[in-house]
Amino acid sequence: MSAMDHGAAHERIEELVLEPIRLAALAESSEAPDIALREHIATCPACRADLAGWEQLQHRLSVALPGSVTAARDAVEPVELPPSLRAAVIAAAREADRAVAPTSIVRARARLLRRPRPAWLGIAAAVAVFAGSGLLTFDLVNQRSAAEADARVLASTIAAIDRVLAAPDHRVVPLLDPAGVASGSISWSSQDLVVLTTALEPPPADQEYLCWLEEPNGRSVIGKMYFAGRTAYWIGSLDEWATFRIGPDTRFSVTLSPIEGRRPYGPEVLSADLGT
Amino acid sequence: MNELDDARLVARIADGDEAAFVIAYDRHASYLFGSLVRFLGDREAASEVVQDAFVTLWRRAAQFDRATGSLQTWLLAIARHRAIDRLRAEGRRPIRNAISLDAVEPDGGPGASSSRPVVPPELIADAATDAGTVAERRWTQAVVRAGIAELPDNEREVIILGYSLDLSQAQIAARLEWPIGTVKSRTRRALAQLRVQLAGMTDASDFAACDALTGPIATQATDRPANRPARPDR
Repeated sequence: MSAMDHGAAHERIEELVLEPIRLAALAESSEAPDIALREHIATCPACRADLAGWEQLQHRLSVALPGSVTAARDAVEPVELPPSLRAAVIAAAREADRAVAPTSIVRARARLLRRPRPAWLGIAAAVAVFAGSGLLTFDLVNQRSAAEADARVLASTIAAIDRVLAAPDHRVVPLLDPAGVASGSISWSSQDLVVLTTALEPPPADQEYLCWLEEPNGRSVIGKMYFAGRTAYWIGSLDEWATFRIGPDTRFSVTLSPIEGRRPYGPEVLSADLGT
Repeated sequence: MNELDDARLVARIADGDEAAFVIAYDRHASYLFGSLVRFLGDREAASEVVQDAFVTLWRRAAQFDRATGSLQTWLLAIARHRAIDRLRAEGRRPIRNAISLDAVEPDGGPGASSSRPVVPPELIADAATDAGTVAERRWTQAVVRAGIAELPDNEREVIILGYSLDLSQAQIAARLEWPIGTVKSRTRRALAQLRVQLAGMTDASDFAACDALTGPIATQATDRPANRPARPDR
């Protein structure tokens, strides 16, 4: 019998794991490929570990699933996450910030203060335009505790804008509401994209603001707007969109869309032509 | 930022990035909640533990070490401690009711295995089984079930038939009237996802990392060290 090589062993393991009975019978199997596999794994730690991982998974699945299809289906029926839990978790995190010294805010502020480049002042001023009095929340002594979490978000947003504006190829384009009134901005570099506006009201509980990028041949959702106080924002990383490029015909838009069953996607509330 | 991997997401959370925190919630809360509902049998209690776990992430993200496992594993470990502590505080055992739901006869079907135990003996709690061991077995079962629940419907179905009735791929294909190749590809995808999801679930480092955050589980109900991984179910 010829010795099984690594690739063949891997293929055989992949075949066996499809059926728990066959994998369980491997130790006693008299089939030639199984005998060869046993000989291979006896001398190959990598394949032995791979096989052990599959055996552990199969054991867990066998133990976890009842021996009845009906009971098994009940046992693994998807559990709906309470819609209100998300807001409760965010509120609890903010509450936790109030209960302890907000060290991360201190860290964020320290980082900013360590970089007194002239560009930073411009960035801060730009954000202040959008965030109104948001930057005042960086005063850790006098700020209201409820605004601390918003300040954290704004700090990270400033950091993103900092990266964008520091890039030589960055662009800034105004966001327009349906009437054509400037209502915020979208700025991007080759790596980051930042959307900021104070023109949106927080969405109803069953709706959300979706961010889209459109090309002449279609559009796709790239994210959704989050809120920090009155400021709505979205920050993306362009370098991680494996296939997307902003071209001369690219358009950005925001729709107010139902969270469940997104079609139809709802009205467009903001837009920007990125190619202009 | 939605495309950031968990390690970079946690790094941003450690820097106080609330947007990253929300993305982490959207990414992992469903699986966490599904595991806890199955373990605790109480949606409200599960919600509270999910909240605790994410607040811990928010406050201690800097302690996350990707070398010890994934963010999901880390969150599950935190939740496991919280949930077991909660049961102990309430003087409850997690297993009785859940096991009784499983104690039904196999419903057969073509090729159904007759040798499969109605209830895996490892999961049957009796007077001699300490609460800590029972809780850990139950936790493993809950997390595995939640992982299966997270699969797409058609992938979940092949796993149910394959592992509940021990059907072969050909038998599943006949039962569902799907091409055999479709059954195999869906099974492969499902198993691959489950293996990733459940990897590290009982690693010693998993519990050790969690103990650093929450303190060890009280050992009064079990004779094994709290930071040692759960022993195999079977």
